[in-house]
Amino acid sequence: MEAREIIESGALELYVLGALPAEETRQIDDLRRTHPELNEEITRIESTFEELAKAQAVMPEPELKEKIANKLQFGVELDLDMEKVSSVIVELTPVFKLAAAAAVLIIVGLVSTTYYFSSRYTEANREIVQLKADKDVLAQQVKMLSGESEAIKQQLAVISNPANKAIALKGLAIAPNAQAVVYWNAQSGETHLNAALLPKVGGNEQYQLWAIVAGKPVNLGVINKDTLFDRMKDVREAQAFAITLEPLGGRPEPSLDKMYVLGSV
Amino acid sequence: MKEREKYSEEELIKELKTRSRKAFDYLYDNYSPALYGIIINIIRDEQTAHDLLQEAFIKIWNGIDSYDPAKSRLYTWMLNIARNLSIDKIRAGNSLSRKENKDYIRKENENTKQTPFVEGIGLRGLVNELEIEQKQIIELLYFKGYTQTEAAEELNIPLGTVKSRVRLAMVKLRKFF
Repeated sequence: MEAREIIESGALELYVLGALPAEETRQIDDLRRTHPELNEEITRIESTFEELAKAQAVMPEPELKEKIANKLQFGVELDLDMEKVSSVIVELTPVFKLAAAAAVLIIVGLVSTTYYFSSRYTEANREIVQLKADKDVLAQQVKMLSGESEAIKQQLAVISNPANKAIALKGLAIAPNAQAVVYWNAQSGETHLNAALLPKVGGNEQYQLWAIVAGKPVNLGVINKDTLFDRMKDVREAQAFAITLEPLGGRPEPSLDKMYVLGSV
Repeated sequence: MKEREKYSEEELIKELKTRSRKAFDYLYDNYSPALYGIIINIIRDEQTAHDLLQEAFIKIWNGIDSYDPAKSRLYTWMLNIARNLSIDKIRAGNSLSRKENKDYIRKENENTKQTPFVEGIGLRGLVNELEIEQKQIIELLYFKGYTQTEAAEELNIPLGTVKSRVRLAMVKLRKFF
């Protein structure tokens, strides 16, 4: 596209406002390097927004200034007027000149040391802020990992419990590759489901688990999309388990034409 | 501080990098009204606006080393810091602002007369010079931080129209400055 066309299109205004999609922003970033006329226009647009900002300027309350200043790290200013210092020295008698010169040296030394330590201090403070941020990120990760490991432990407990029977649910015509495993405790009725191998579904649909008891389907609950392994409702005397695809929230009766997997006990 | 000094942007950047008190005084005295203006325009709550102005100055103060003059003017960089902080706050705080905004647009469409745009502030008169459509687009993009795509969806117009409207609005505004 010609630079002129870009300018006329209004893309640069959106670019300055940060409202363009990433791709277009990158294109303009690149073009700016070779087209000074784009840069000129961008500066003009920036100035207009700046004028807009000035036109709506509002004076903040006066006490805010010191409050904000207190939150900032200031560098130390080396504000020693050497001319003044030496003119004072010249006026002194020779006896004191040496002493004065020595004193000045000591003062300069002290000030620079202070300056040095103060900038080290500022630097160290910045590092602390960075480290704190890093620490938060790590803490977040640890929390996530320990959550995951907790879930895995629970799964393992279910899978390795001898009272639980693993029932493989196999894919039906609608999805021959689909699989799921139900872990069922016939005594207590406790039922867990591993749904990791079911096909992905759209936002308006959800899988629902059913048990077949005395030839009739019994609702064992909908399967949370983000959970791959979950405890479902308890059931006793199940003959078989099946999963159907239902509208979000599930249905009281299974949609038999949307049965994905089935397995008998 | 003494008024005799007027820094160019380059001088101010250099001065800011020393992080001297003098640099802060200059920065604050010259830029805080515009920064505060844009914050209060977006946020409309004084206490939150105070906090955000403070946050903006901390970001500017600590971030001056990462400012890139080739990318934008210093003033625009600072305004964008204040603007983005405020917009993030609004977006994080309540999804209400979206709804309010839709209501605003609806009202504006029904009632083509001048409804308050940015109340009680000098900008109002200025922006009232614009067509309703141009006002809306500036409001969405500048004060609400909408992206081009979001603005197109909100107003139900093509992406290209978002561009041409904002262009028209800006060309018109330029005449006032």
